[in-house]
Amino acid sequence: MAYKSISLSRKTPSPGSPATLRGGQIARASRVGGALRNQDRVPQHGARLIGRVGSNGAQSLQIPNADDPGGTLSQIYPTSTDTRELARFRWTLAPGYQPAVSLISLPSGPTQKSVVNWEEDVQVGQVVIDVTWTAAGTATRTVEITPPASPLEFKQVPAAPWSAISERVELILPPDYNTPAEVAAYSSAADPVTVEVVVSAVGSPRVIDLAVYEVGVAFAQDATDDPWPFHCFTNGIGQPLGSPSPVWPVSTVTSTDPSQGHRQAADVADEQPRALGPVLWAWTAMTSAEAVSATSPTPWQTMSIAPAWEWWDGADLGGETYPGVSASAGALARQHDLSGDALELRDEDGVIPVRVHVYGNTDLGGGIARVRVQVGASSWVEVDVDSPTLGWFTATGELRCGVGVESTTTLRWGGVVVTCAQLDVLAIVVEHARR
Amino acid sequence: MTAIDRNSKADTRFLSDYPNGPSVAAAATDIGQWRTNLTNNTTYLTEAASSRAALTLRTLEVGITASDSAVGTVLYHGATDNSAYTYKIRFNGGAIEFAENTILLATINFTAAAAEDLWIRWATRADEDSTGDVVHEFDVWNDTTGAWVGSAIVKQGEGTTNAAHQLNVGGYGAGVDIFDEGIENVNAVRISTRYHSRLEFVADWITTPTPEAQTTATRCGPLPIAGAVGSADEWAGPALLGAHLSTARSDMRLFSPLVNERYPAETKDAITSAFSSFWRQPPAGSGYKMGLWFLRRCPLPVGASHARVRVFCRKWVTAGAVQALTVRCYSLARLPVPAVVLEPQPPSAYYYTAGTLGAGVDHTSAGPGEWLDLGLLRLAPALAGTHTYLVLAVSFAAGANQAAQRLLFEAWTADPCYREPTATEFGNYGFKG
Repeated sequence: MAYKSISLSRKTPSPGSPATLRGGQIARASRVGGALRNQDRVPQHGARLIGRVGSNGAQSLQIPNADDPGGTLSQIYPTSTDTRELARFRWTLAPGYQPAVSLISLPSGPTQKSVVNWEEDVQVGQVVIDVTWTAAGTATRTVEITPPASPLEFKQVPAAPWSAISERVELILPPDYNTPAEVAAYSSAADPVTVEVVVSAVGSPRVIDLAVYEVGVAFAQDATDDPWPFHCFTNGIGQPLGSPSPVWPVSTVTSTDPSQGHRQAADVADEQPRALGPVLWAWTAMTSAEAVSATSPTPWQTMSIAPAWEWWDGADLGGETYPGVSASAGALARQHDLSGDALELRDEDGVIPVRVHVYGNTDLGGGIARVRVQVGASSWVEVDVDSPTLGWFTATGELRCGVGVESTTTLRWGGVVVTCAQLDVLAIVVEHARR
Repeated sequence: MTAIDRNSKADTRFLSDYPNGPSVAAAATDIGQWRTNLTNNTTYLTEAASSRAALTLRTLEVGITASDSAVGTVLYHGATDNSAYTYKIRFNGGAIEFAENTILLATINFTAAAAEDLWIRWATRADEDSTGDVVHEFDVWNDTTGAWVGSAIVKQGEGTTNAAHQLNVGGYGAGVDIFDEGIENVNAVRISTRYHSRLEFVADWITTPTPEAQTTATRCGPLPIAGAVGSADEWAGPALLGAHLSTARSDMRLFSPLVNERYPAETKDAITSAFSSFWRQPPAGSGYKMGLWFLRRCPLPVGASHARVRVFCRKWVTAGAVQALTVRCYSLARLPVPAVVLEPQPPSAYYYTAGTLGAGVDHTSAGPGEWLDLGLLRLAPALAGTHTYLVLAVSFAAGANQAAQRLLFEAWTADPCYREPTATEFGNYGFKG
């Protein structure tokens, strides 16, 4: 089996020109190579933000900023050993991409020995990122980030916090990510790679903003004619073909010629709109009001069987004049057969296929609960949560995104119990779905 | 020249629609692109051996005026004796039944003592999670009350069909199980080969949406070019041109929001003019304070030049007169702090965009507030172009009652996009849209 691969370095793509493809010219591979290489560059335009955790709108930190807590008889700081889950994300990797995290934090705070009264313990402040890749097999990696600790007494935040912030960035690659064959295992189009990232804290890191996002690294494919969002119009080590041997680039895809041919160009053109799209939104139940003793966020809960879908405001979920998040980025990833600009939705509105992941359970016993994610009055996706065991539940559907990023979309969500006693939700991710 | 109806699309196999009043003849008239009318049997319509309607993947839409005592088949493709059918939509006294291959897939109940206008959607698509299975989506909208009646989703193996089967509207076979409130009340029928989203169903039949004006580049997916276009002895040009178009229209498919946050009730701390040390003056921001709490490091997609920024604000006053305030969103090329790094630093470029909530705006502390559109923010990329920092800043208008003003950010969104530089902007944004 031969592999073709390209490195997804962040080159500014050239606009390219179809002039070389005009009628009357010989369709030499050297002429069409530019067009094919431009297709190869399309998937590297991304840097998808998956989700964040941190201050989350509050003007306070989960780790307090206090004077001498002496005499305090309850736990006000974390212990130095407990691992506390902050956030959890799950999504489908864009082809060739791998997860990365960035952290903006203030100097870490103290820990305490006992959970019943204050006694300062050894300083620990770590953010732990556990990544699990699931494709044909499963791989895991754990990355620990240790921001600087506060040098002040009681590990207080310095008087000028803006001057004390630190920044860390980590690209997280699978443990086996070296040979083209291994890279290909993490960039399969036919068997997409699902990633789960769990962000935890040990000790007292003071997180302002932790972002989980994607970075383009490398793409490889084996020499078959499966549909791909890339040609890999390269020499196998990431460089363009220097002297293409076929004069006529009309060869179809074969086991010995995976990189050229107009059929491959057509397949890639067909595949890119299906495979590529944004991650619209991710949510975690974590807030800075969470107790420092909690080993996971307090879930969003409902016991309501009323057919009203509520977010925190209790307003109609379809109302777009209420606070929510945006789905408008989806407008840049519309598909012609769902949201076409000429006939289907006539550029009056837009809709994209999405997959909604919900991390939760039916608390207090089994049964069925339902989470609904909605944009506007007539686009929603419902996810059934039907197990008392915490886990990910998914469903696909479509959500309104408008016709451009200046559309006024508002994405909101809610939950309802159907046949169970209580619904717990800890995390939600809404991503573009391949269709 | 025959005008093509707005709702006749490339995938339309049959379309009837007569919004100007019920008529059996109009119900039988195909105003879709096929222009092949059904046979008018006065109380029901037929098309024998209807291969065009023999679809295992399809979208069926029906507009009907009915009460909850209506009984009878509305749309049917199958054998004349009901022994086998591709699909059937039937009213059964307040229940709308959807059946395929003699299997009842879903029932949606409705209440209407007097006849009301209903719109029915039955759309199918391949199941992304289970090869060979089909997702059936059912929706019923009551246009008289302006509300969704019900919805259902069912997963099922792909059904079978028979091109020799008969298409019926208002009954099956030779007028069996006739829709008892009258075929003329079947206001519209559309049979389509493609999956139609709920939004498309609404846009076609219920409410025509009005798009917002866009000043940035927009994209819609290109027409697909299936692999079947090419073989060794065919000319390659059109396919390659199509591929080139696809490249141009797919360039922003991986643009995800830079910030997309909705703040929970537990963390709603009002912002006041008594800024703590976590707030500092932003560049060129006399009178403004930017909050460390609202500092976000944002990965930048290649080619993103701007972001459209919106903030959901709640503004109120604890006592006395309400005053104006302004919110800015900054894009910073690097953090406004002393950097302890050995590599070259980018220029501390920054841009901002702003929006004002005037003195007349008082959402009260109970809210909910309103979306404040800050418009397009030009992005200041960090050295390698890989990221930027977004931060929110606030300025309370000077005045005697400044200390009593309150502001709460309830949500913050920033969607990246590409826009041609204006005459006063410069620089290379990468590629053009």
